[in-house]
Amino acid sequence: MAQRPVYDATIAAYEKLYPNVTVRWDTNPNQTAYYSGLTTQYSQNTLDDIFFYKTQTGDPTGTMQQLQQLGWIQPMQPAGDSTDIATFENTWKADAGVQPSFIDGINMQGGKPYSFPFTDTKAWGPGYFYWNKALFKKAGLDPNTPPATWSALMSDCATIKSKLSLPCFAMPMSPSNQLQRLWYALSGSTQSDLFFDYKTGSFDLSEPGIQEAFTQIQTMYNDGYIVPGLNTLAASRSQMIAGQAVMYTDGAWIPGQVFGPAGFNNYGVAATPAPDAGRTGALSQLPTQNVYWVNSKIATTHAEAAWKFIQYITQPDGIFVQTYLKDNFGTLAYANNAKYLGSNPQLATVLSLGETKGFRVANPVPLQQCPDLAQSQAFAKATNAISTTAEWDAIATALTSKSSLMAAATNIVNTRNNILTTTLATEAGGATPLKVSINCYKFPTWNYTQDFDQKYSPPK
Amino acid sequence: MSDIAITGAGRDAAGPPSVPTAPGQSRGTLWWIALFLIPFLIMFLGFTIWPLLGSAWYSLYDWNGSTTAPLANSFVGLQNYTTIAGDPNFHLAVQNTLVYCILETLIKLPLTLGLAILLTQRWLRFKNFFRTMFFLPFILPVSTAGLVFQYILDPTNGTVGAFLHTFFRVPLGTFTPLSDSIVLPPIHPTGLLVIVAVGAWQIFGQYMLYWMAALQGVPEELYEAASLDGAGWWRQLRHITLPMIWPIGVIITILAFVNALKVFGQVLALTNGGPGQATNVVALYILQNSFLASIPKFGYASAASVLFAILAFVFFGGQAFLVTRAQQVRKEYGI
Amino acid sequence: MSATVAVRRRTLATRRNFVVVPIMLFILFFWVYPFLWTIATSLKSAHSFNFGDQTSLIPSQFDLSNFSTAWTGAGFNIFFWNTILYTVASTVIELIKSMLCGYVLARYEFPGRKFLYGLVLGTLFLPLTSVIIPQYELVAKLGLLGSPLSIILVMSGAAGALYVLLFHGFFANLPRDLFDSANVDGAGFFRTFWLVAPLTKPVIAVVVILSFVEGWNQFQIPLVLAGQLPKLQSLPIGLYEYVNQQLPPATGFAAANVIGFIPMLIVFIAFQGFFVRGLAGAVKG
Repeated sequence: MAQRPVYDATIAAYEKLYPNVTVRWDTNPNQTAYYSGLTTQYSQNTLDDIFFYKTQTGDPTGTMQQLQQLGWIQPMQPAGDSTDIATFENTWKADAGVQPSFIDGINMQGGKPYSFPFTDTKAWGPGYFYWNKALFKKAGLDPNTPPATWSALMSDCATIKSKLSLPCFAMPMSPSNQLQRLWYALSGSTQSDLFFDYKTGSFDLSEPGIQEAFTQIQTMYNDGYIVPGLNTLAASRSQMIAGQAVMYTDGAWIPGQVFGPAGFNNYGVAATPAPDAGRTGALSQLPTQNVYWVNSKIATTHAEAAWKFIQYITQPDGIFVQTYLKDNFGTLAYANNAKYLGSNPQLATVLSLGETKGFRVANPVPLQQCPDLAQSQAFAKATNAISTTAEWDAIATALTSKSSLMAAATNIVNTRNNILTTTLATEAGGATPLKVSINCYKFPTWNYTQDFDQKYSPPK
Repeated sequence: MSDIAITGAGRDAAGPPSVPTAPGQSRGTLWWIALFLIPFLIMFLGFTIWPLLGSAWYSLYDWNGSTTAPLANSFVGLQNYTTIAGDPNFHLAVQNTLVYCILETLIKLPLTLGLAILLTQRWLRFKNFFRTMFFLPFILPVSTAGLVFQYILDPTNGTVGAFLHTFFRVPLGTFTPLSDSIVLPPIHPTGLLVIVAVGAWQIFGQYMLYWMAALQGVPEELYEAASLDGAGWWRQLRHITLPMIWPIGVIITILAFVNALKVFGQVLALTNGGPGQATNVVALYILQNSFLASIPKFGYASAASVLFAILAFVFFGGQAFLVTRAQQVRKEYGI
Repeated sequence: MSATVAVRRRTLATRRNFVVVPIMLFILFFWVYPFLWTIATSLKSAHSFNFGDQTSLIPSQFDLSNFSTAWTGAGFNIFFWNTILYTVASTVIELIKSMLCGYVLARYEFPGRKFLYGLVLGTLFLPLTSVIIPQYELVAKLGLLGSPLSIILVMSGAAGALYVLLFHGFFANLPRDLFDSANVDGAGFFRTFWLVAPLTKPVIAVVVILSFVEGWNQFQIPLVLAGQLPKLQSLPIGLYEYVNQQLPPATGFAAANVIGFIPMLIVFIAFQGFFVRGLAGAVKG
């Protein structure tokens, strides 16, 4: 896909350095097909030596645990390798003392890293607001002043609708979990962008902040400010490119992957408009899940080569970093992003928004509070027992049938909470009891708008 | 997605006819028989019989496909079935599938019959042209038909919205059949109606041809005799055409029902089961839990598969009785 | 007298046509509108489509590059040849295995014959979706995932029952004399089969047409088996993925769709008689 030239350049340089090694980069534009394909590839022994995997269970910190249970992964450093692992770890700077790059239970175990943080977690993520400058101008709005509040958003949309006869906002809804593109942005300014509330330790859609975000979306929808119909992600992005929608919320990857160089000056990027009374929440920063893992069935010679390759692409000033950033594909956890980022003004804005205090805040990590959660199935069970998209389905249904979110949502969150608490209780009282309880997930002193000050245990 | 019955399927429902001729079966002949059976048997066992048993076997495990077969320690008994029984999404998918079967059949059968009657009238000109045109949608895969209609029904760019805007002053962007809902239990989402319409449009030509085949079997003399008696077209229709084609009509109806159960392609293309789960159907539900899931739940999806197969079998088996009856009637009429 | 009747009949027919044909043409316009839309849109420029030219059937701005973009840029050349390969290969396999099996099932006695017949009949209406997981696992175990053979095998194994019953019905109804005389001539098993095989031309036509249509329109099997590998995708799945993964303008979609349906349209018009008889023969006893 679009990123192929970056990998081709990196691979060419690497193969020149190690002429006896051949590297192949596989990619798949269809994410779902990619993930369901991994399962088969593993069972068929055709899984690549190094593979990308992001948790699919809804537990944002449980990826390594999940992959270990599947038996898919092994430490990145092969047994008997003499590289000093500390040198490797020192490439990464801890994020202002709040979130170290290597955390036991998340990407390390027994002092051995299983993956390294790939994309950075401050700037890189969902929740950015994009607008079409030319259409703003055409509607008589200032193309350089995006709406800062929800009421400004509504009045801009009213202007756009009356002047341009355009529906204002592009929002994908098919399948329903595509609603996350708008949801993260709006709920991230009222609470956190997760359905799980780390403050109360429960799945909760009845929180005032969540309800407020939903009401805002519903108002926009009912007022005709959202492109009508059951739009797919592709349709919504196309509407934005074709100038049939003026505003859109999605992740930091939009400038590089969707607008492309031609759109650098046509679109603006900003933080999502905040509630009129001010932000009461922030986007979630969790240890990055955009990471690569090493296949447990890897051959010994391949393991050595894979480890060398990982060290190669993680050189902060290496060719991979330079080409990846120059082509605006993302911001990396182990590089000076500002130094190498291409001439994309939107990504520069993304980077500076990421630095803004309270834009994206470090969320609590229950695993740090209760290390035994690494063996617990409770959270995965709670998220998988009923459809993982149930909350999104409820939101889509409430939106399109113009009804309240609570009716459908109460059942969903009750079921999930029940499974979570009962499974935790069972695990705590089992034959080999785990030190877990629902309290592991509760952080009552945490404020949604501030980095959670976690006493991270240093990696052992 | 062609749905076809076969010559004598109903007649033979009770078992194969006795062998009309059995040439001396030497040892060599038996070898030949085996040789002739092998290609089919391999494929049939591999891709029909084993999968049926396999689905039932998988359905007893909590299995995600990352091992080549379910592991013994993931045996969960009937738990997948109890989970499905309590899943409102599955109930909705079954309900939608049945609603689809009934609605689509009720729409396509009378219309195709009416058109077939018209197209078999001797006085009508351009018959071949009309037949070709009405058959045309059949050359589109039903998923592709869904995609085309998604564009045509697009609230902003679609033709239908523009048409309603121009002629009925409906504001642009307010015609949203894929995401709307109406209060007409059990049909809430209007998307389901679109799915029905697209399905009926795509398959129309096939049923039209079925009816035309049935109509061509009615002896011309009957009409001539009726004409001489002064019977008008309505009486001819009621007393000759419909009674004569009704036995085949039963087969066509069963085909229509059973094949409508498989509805899938246009659902994925038009609504992906949405908004939310509102227009989901069983086939899509199964794939959503297996190949369209990031973490496949092959065990769970297999349980849904088994229930789906049973549903189809009940539809077919229950109606096979009717076919047999119809065949008897058919014989009495001598057609 | 008879002349008057004939004339009157003709005028009656003319009058009827005068009313019915225009009505039919009117309905037909809406009926085939999706095709007209597709063809018109495939000729428009993406820009003109997005800005005001969404609905007209005559493009205000022609842009034929939609086709080259779809054909090479979006890989529809690959999807096209894949579809032909899958369709032709599975049709050939279906034809051979169902003809051979239908023949012995209809004309020879062997242990388990009734049982096999019942089994075949019982699986006639088995929905593909209900067995696709084990089918997938089977081709995976055979190590065929990622190979076109996986799709061909599942496609030609999926609709097995129907065609066997078609051949069975035909062979079972052949007159006994035919076989008796072959016997008298001393023809063995294979010679006898070889003698009667040419008689099955009508059934062969039915099976080929049905299998061809089924293969060309098959969506679920390539969705499952080629979902992650563009090089294996067929036209229906390629079109679906194109729309959902690559953000083509409507004009790009339309051009890709035209590429998909034109060959089938040509086949249909060229072999229309077969289609009609094929489908009709399927339901008529």
